[in-house]
Amino acid sequence: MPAFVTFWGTRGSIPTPASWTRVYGGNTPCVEIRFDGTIFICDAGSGIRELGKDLARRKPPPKTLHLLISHTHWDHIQGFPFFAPVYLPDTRIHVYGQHAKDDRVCGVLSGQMSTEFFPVSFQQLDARIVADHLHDGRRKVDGVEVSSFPHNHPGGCFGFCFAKDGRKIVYATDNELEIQAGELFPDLENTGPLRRMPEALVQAVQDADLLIHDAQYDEKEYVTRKKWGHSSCFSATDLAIQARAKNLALFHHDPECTDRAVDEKVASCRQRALRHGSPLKICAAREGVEMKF
Amino acid sequence: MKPAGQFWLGRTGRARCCPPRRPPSVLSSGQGLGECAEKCAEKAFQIPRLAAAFWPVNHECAELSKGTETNRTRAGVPLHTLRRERLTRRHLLEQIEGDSPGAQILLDKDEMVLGRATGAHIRLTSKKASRHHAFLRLRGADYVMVDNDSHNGILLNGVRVHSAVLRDGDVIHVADSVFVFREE
Repeated sequence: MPAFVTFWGTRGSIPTPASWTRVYGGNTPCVEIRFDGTIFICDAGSGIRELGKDLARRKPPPKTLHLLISHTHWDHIQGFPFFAPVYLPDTRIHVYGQHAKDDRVCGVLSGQMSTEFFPVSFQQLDARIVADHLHDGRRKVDGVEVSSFPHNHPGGCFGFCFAKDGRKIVYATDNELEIQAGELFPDLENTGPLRRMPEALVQAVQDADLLIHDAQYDEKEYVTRKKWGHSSCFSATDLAIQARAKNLALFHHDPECTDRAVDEKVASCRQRALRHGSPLKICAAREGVEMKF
Repeated sequence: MKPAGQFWLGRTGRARCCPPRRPPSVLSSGQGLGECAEKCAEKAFQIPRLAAAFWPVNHECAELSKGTETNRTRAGVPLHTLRRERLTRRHLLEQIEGDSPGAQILLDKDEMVLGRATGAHIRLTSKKASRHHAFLRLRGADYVMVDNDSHNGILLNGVRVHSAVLRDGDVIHVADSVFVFREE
């Protein structure tokens, strides 16, 4: 059975509704990954609101959802109180921690719904919210092998890999692929060799049908934003090439990045892949787009 | 002068809004039926009281629930002072390669079929096209293109997609035909 990936929020840091974000979208991260009837939701940024509306229109509306939060920075959780299924009594939402008794994510989701921030408390939600967990970073959910791997991001963050029947989708946002000593940076002319990537990360992404990776900056922007926890689009491309991923979706667009600038990033990354003889297909994650693998 | 219901249907440009005299909407009662998010006639589920404030509601349907107020909104704002974007905004497919290069196809239905079938709204003659290759569906104010599990798929700006909300300037490949989506 194919896997479906739908982008509901692709913007980083803060919702950015503007005429110049109309194409790629202004909502913060939320990606739906669907294998048969099993729905995984990666992050609960403001895009999750539209997902909630869409789920309600499906026939029948799904009763069980699996929510995986990469980390609890604001842009990845702020949509949760506006997610319609949390108000439906017959819905069950599994929120995953990394290991047994890891209910930090639920704690933070609950915290942002305290009375100072939101009129409805977490305890008043009608859906059954289950503080579930992976088993030390791995778990099989309805036949889908789910695994997590750590990211390089202030405060910590995790990427998620979903695999079933030979299909593999990797969600890896808020991950800074740092430039190693001796590597060409900034590669403004796009002439440099591939950058070295952490072996564990390459292994996690290996042969993915789709890698969704943080590519918040272009080379020039990244010069002044090192250690902010986000990657240059060239580094994301190099990771995808080395891991032999088939498709790369540039993700977590900077709030200042216009649709045209996103297009330019895609074009330069495609040029880079071509120059290195890679068949990698590159696009930018775009709200409202559903891909099938 | 048109009756109230027809006036509102005309404003949205499509016969998709619910008829006048609906049950009280969630906006007015704080609790109501989960209708009108997309298909007005459907009663999908009850909205719990707490959810009411955060639930997607078609505001035009809420206006219609008043039934008798034809010239003003619920807030008492004269209708002639409101923007009416949908009256002037058109969606087009401009064919740049294929059977009729230069042709402009007005998207004026809630659902349109692209394909080789005789009944397709946008007919393709290429053998690479499936009979019902793809659908163009109106969702809210946007058109969504959906691949109907066709053999050769659809490309959006060169990327194979299963479905996508279309934006002005998008280039769509369907079999041997290439279209540009235009929002006016």
